[in-house]
Amino acid sequence: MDLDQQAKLTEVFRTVFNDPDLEPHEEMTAQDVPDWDSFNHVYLITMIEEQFSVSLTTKEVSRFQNVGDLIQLLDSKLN
Amino acid sequence: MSTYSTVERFEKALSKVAPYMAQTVQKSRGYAPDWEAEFEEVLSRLFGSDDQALAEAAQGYVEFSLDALRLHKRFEREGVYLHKTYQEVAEAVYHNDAYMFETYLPGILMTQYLWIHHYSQLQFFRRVFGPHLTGRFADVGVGTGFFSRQALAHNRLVRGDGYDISKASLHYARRQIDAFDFGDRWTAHKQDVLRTPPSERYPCVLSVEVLEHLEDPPAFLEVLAGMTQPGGHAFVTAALTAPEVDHIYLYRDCAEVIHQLQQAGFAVLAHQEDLAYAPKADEPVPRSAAFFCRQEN
Ligand SMILES: C[S@@+](CC[C@H](N)C(=O)[O-])C[C@H]1O[C@@H](n2cnc3c(N)ncnc32)[C@H](O)[C@@H]1O
Repeated sequence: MDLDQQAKLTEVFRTVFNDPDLEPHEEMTAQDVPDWDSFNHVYLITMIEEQFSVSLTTKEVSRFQNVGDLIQLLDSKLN
Repeated sequence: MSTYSTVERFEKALSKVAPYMAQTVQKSRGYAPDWEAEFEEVLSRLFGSDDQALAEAAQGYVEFSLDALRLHKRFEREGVYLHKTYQEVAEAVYHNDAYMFETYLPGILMTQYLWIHHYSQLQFFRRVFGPHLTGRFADVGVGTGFFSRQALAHNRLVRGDGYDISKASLHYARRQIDAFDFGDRWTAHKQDVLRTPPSERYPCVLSVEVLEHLEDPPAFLEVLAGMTQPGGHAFVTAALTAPEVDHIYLYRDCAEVIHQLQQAGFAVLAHQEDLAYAPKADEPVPRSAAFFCRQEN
């Protein structure tokens, strides 16, 4: 993931979780972000699909446990 | 060991698979005082000490729920369900053993406890239909066998017939019913009731979460009315504004279901509508509607 893409991902997280200071990092999980429930998980996926022009299956998105897994998944789609 | 150790193991497995669902079990504990005892019983009878099986059930629930939520997001924008024929759904879902066993059946079973509108529908079933459960019942579209099992538990003298087109559903239902030792009072029939309507008439008929899976629900309701003895009772449910992988027919309100039930020859004696969650503004929310009916012909 290049720097532009990283910045884009940070923006997506900040919008979804309504927190302008949020700094997503690889080890971050839903337990670290107060509003990261299944509704926001789906909102996050929808935004990522739109912003990165990728399409993710439910199997793929149900399995990422932290932001690092998400980045890996996105990398595999973007390359 | 705690009294509800299997629920706790499931909770741990769910948080591991999907940290964003870590609060799901804790929230559900507030649904009713005996919620946890009931959930413990089904989990321990079906999965026992098998942590792998419990984790797979958690994964199935996660995928099933996320699919429904993603489809709902799309539905909020477009206002219609994705177009699918019954044949397409049957092939992709009911006859797709891998999907049925890994996602669909464990997913649906868990929603009976973890989705408030499903759990509330179960309370309505027990309250209004329970007292009328006598003799024999037919469960049409048994799926996981959950409602057959509930009927068999409610009255230890009743016997039941389960009808379904899916081999996987009938297998899963058999497993659940046997796990509760009700196996000798229940018979499975692999049968498409639309093509081959059963000739037997029952004092009690139930069909839960099937109507919205069909292209022509009124034709199906006629079959149900034909299977119910005159004066007998039926418990029928419909999902309203609730897209799922296999939902074809879009019901927007109870009135339409009531009209179809009446056209088929049922009087609706009571009904209940439950919301999946409180709506923000006027967004559509998935709802379950359950109808307690008497055959009037
Ligand atoms: C959502 S599931 C039902 C859930 C189930 N009542 C439970 O409590 O687990 C729908 C079921 O209806 C079955 N089905 C669909 N069309 C049918 C038909 N024409 N005749 C019999 N079963 C049918 C499907 O195979 C599937 O198992």
